[in-house]
Amino acid sequence: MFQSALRSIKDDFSRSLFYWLTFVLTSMFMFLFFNLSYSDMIGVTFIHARNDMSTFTTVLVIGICMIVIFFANDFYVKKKSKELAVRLVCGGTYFQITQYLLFQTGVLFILAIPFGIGLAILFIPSINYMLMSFLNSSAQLHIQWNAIVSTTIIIVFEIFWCTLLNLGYAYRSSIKTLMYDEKTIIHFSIPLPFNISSKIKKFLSIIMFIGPIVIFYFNGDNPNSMLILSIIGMIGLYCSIDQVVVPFLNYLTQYKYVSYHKRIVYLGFLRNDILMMKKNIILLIVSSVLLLSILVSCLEQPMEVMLAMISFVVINILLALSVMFKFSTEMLGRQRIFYSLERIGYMKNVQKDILMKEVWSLYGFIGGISLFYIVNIFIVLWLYQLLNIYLLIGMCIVFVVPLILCAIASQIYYQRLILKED
Amino acid sequence: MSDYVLEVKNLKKVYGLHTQNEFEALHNINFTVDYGEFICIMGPSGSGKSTFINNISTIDMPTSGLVYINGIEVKTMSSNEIGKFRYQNLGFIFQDFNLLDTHTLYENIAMPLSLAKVKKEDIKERVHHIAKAMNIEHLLQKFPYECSGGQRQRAAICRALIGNPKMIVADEPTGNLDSVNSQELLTILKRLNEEQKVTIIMVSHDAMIASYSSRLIYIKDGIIEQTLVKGDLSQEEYFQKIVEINSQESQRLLKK
Repeated sequence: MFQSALRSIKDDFSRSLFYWLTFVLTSMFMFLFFNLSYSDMIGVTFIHARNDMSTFTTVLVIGICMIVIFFANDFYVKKKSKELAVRLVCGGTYFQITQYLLFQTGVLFILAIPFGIGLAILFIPSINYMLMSFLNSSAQLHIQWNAIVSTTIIIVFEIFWCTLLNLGYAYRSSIKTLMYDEKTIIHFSIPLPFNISSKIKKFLSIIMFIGPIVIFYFNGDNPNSMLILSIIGMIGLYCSIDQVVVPFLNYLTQYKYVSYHKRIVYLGFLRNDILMMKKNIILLIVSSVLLLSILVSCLEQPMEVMLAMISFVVINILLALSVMFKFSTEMLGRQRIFYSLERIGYMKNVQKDILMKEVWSLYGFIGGISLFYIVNIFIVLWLYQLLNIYLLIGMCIVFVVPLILCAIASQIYYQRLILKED
Repeated sequence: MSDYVLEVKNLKKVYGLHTQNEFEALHNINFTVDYGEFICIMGPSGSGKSTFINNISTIDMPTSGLVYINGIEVKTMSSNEIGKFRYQNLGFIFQDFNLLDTHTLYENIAMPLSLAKVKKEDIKERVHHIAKAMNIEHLLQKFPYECSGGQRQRAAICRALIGNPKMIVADEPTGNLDSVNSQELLTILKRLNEEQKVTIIMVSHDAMIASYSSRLIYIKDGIIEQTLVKGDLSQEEYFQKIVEINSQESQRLLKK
């Protein structure tokens, strides 16, 4: 069992690598923020929690890291559904499969922790430099043993519970369903006692998404309300993707651009990618809005502002990378699709165009829809003189640059994977 | 115009060339196909059938030898010309369907037409027409993974036929179909061959399916071991001959 788990990591190297990288990054950021929270300047301890903005920021960043791990774990296990089905067919029990998956994840985690913590240690002098340069603070960040223990314990517990949760999905699904991998996941929905027409659903989704932005403009002097309004906005966005974006892409691929041989392909890919990335997009916007709320609430305290800014940078990098890893994992399954395209008559040069357009449309959509929300919040904060324009421009750049870099990396990886000569 | 739709001269395919695992899958094959022929390729597993049809249909390139399609040597064609040639002349049907899971059946079927730059109104009409003929019109908005094997195969057939190809290449097209769907597919192929003179090259293990062809090519160990022409034989007589060829192989194995 353990040997075959190790062999599976080796055979499925690329997918395991992306999962491992997620662990490296999340453990690095979690370790950094645990160090910050345990430091003398912030001084959070489990016994003497100060419950101020620094505590909220730290808890928020750690929470987002945990959500990223949850998404990565969920995706990793679902991509292995066929492998799990084969094990079940061969007589494996659910207990054995749990062991098998936990062992794989455990190995990747053990290999990731030293790298994550090592990278974080390399970053600590830079943070100390920033504290000294920008805040003239004599406070220094030191490596805390407690931070290593906390990071490890939290991730271990999360992996354990995530794996069990995902196995619940395997347990509920039939072997046949698992064979057709993640495509046929049964979606559970609670039926409503009344019927809502699709036009009303579309309208409500758009109102829920746009409405909070309009309210921001009238209620901008109360940044705390931003959070609740944003949550409503994100529910609206989540529904809008299903009710508006996907039907619009269906219209483009099946009617408007059906006679454009490249568009029909990459718009179809884009539709699939957007549905796959839905949760990541929501998390990207929600975390930015949360950090903005924190930032605006503690403008008088430079230390807290600094912490919120660092968190904003770190979270945007982490979430952009998690989008990239998820997309890269999806790309691994695209080789077969491009092979089919080649048989129809899509040659390599056309394929290159298609994949380039897919990558930039996807990242453009993620960046565009997120910026649409965040920029409006920035404008409101600027209009109410809560933040200055340079800081807002800086934050926009911080938001966009990681996404652009990840798009470039995705494109290079995608091209190498698909366009390599046989 | 060439006398043959397809002409193969000294076709050789070597896998893992100049490596420890070098393996010659096809040895100096010579072969011609007339316009409007229905050819079935049979042979034991690993004999080189799929390699052969991949190499004669521009999917793969031979290590040496020449392949002429409509008198044009494939190796002299540029990548764009090969692409254009595929969507204008060839229709592929494969055992594993080769449909794009990211696209609906409608989009999958429409793709060869969009490559041929057909107008969107015509695409709509032609997709619905062929889907109706194949009894999958009600499934056009579904994704392949939401359909059964038979429905997916029909969609793959629609995609192969929608561009009115001059030649259809089918690798075990009935491999994932039940007997009723297999029969239906063969009837369609036979009709296309007889009424529209579409050339068909099909790989199959099944003697009954092979009996629909006009010529049988039996490949073994990378060479064409036998050829059987239907000629004036009835389908039943032709079927018996195909069974005999196949059983010779089984008898040889039993005697070992």
